[in-house]
Amino acid sequence: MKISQRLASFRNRSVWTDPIRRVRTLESFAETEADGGRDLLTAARRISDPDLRVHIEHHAEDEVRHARLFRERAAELRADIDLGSVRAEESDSSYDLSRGRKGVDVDAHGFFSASLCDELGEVAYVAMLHVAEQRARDLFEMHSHLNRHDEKTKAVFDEILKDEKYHVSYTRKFLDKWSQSGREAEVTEALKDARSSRFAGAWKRMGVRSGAGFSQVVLYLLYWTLLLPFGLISSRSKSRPNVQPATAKPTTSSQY
Amino acid sequence: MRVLGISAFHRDAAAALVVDGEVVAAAQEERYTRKPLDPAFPKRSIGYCLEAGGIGSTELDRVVFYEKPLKKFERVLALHLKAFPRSARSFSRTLFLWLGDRLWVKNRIVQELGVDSEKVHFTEHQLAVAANAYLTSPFEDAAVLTIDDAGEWATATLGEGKGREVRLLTEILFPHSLGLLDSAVTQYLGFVPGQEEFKREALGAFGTPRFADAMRALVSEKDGYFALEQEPFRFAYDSERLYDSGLEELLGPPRFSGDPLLHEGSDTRHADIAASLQVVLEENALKLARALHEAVPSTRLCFAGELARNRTLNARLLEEGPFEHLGIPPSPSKAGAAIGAALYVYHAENEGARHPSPSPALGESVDDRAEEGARELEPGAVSDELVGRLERGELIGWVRGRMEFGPHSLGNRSLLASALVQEAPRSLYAAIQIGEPFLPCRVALPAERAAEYLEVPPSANGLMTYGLVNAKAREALREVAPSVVHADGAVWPQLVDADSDPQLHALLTAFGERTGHPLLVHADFAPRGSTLVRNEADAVNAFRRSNLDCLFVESRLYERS
Repeated sequence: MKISQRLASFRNRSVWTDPIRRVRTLESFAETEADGGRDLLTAARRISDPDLRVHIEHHAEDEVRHARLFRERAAELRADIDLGSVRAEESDSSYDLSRGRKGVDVDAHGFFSASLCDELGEVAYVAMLHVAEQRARDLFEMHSHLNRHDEKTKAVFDEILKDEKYHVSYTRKFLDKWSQSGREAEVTEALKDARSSRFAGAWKRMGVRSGAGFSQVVLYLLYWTLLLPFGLISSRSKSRPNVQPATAKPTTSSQY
Repeated sequence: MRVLGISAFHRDAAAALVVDGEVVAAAQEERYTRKPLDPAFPKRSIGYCLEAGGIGSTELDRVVFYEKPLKKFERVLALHLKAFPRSARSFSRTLFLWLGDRLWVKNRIVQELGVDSEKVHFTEHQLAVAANAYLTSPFEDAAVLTIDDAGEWATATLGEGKGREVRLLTEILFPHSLGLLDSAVTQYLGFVPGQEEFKREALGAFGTPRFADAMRALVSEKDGYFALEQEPFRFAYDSERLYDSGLEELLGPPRFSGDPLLHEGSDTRHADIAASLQVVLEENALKLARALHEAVPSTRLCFAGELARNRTLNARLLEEGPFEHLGIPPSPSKAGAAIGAALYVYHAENEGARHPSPSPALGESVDDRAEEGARELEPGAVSDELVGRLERGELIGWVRGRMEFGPHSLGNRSLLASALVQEAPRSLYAAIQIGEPFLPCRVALPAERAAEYLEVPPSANGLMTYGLVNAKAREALREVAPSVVHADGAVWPQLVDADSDPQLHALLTAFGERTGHPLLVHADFAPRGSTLVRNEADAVNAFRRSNLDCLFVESRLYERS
């Protein structure tokens, strides 16, 4: 396993040891795969190369099948633990490993809205797909490993992994084909962009998170030191009234 | 004069462009980012407004932000200190947000738009909300009431509008907030506060208000206005968890998302709590309306703020309130405040006439690019095709014209089904993966036929055009379309007249001629977890993900392959 996989594996271990989170995670994977299948099908309609279109349609079918496999396994586990009727779409975002953090345009599995295909063009779209599928392959390898003590769940991941390898391989094939037909610079640039946007995104997220964490620790310390006397005085002070006359002619040039 | 209004950093960020006193474009950022009620700086909405107005940002004369950041920051700081030491965790989180972007709104606007900093102005939050209510109304003078969650300090205001001027008279101050009381109970019931108050309201239809006295104890009267008990709540200093153990002691254990919802059968506790809050909100809104009527004895009331989205409350205000006429803008809360802020500054600086009642269709048009699988129909054949399919019980997506501004589609980004089909609302919601069985659907009908099916209070037609008020169902409606009638006998109607929406009116009329009853179930074309579809590509994508039978975009038909 790569170092990044080891780190992710360490982070995600608790997901698979908690029976409820296991179910919800599998359901959220199912939802993402189903969404991905639909997105790919829409994107396929925009692809002009007939050979590539067939591959993307096949890819879309795979995603739908993956969704079914995840859903079925989740249902079995759900029955085992008598989880009740909580639906996947109600799952807490923290369980939603497959989607990444809210607000990120591209989910962790790497599917994009169909309009991206229009905006980017075929080469850049397939490059992004390729990089995303590589990541998905690594991700599912890790989840397969984490489920090594649960044969049935591991079998689901292993089955899906075969397809992921095919997805990586056909996208690579087309990128190579374009490279050999004189579009090498375009392909290289597209792959660079796809990788750097992921890397930059991850780096930026890490920066923001650690910066935010550090700032909040500083503010927390300020609260208990600098603001403590003001807080003590304020907490004993009289409350403001519940009602007051409004300002007669408020100015609009001031921020106060 | 060109004025851009902006609301952002709370929820439902939006932008609106006013040119010579007329609202020419407005859009909510959520429609572009697909994140419901997205609070982010509305860069894309601003881009659309400027494009629609055919101007560049440097040609703007004023950019108006809908609240005063420093005043709001003062409130946040003061109440965190007041709640010392309980506010320790929330303090660092909140201050981080404020120091990150909210304090630097002016710089952000200057940087993003490249405008001169002197052009950037700020209105008070409730003033922008009030201006949206009054300056877009058809009234020449009116009393103006806002009941909101929070602004800077004011949470509700009493005011008046005369000619081109709107002014506030009295402010109820934070943390005494009916909007936040609603949000806290919404969260207590396991829904998302600030977003799913409509679910709390809908749930109330299934309950009896047996907790009303307990709720009334939370809202006392002080100096002639309501004052909220603070012990059971945390919202004064914590924006993530709004209620405290005091509320649990009063009402029992809270419900969390995913827990069973008690609203039918022998145990209806959750619905009873929702119904009880509804009663208390209505009582207090009525008290405020009466106090306002004493101060401003007009026959007309303009009402806005978060609580103006509560259709049951609006119906009661209309029936029992002291005002004969009630006006509510189609987008009465945060997003609409972008319009209010721009109009307020325009009229404060200009003598130009008011342009009341702008159509809510202020957003992007359907782009004229057919997606794959489209079948072009003859323009005259669209209505026939729609009616035939509706009659056969099909669930239909319908997209046309400009996107509406506000929380709901009024017919341009809609889902339609025959109201005469058993369980039509549930099927329509299920088709877009919305599964809550207690959520009501609108029923659309021609305005001139409303009295046959509904008890329509006098002067309610305008409000019902925007679907802003509930009405009681008549026997005729209960007989032919029982599934659109809520558990409490009310209906969420949308009256359609031939002037404001001739196409939808003609569709309803034709459907009525075929079936005998011009009644269609009408819902927003917004798949679960997303927002109203924006353009054709969005709509087709959502259609493919849904279980709808077909989709009409202008004169193009998409069917299941």
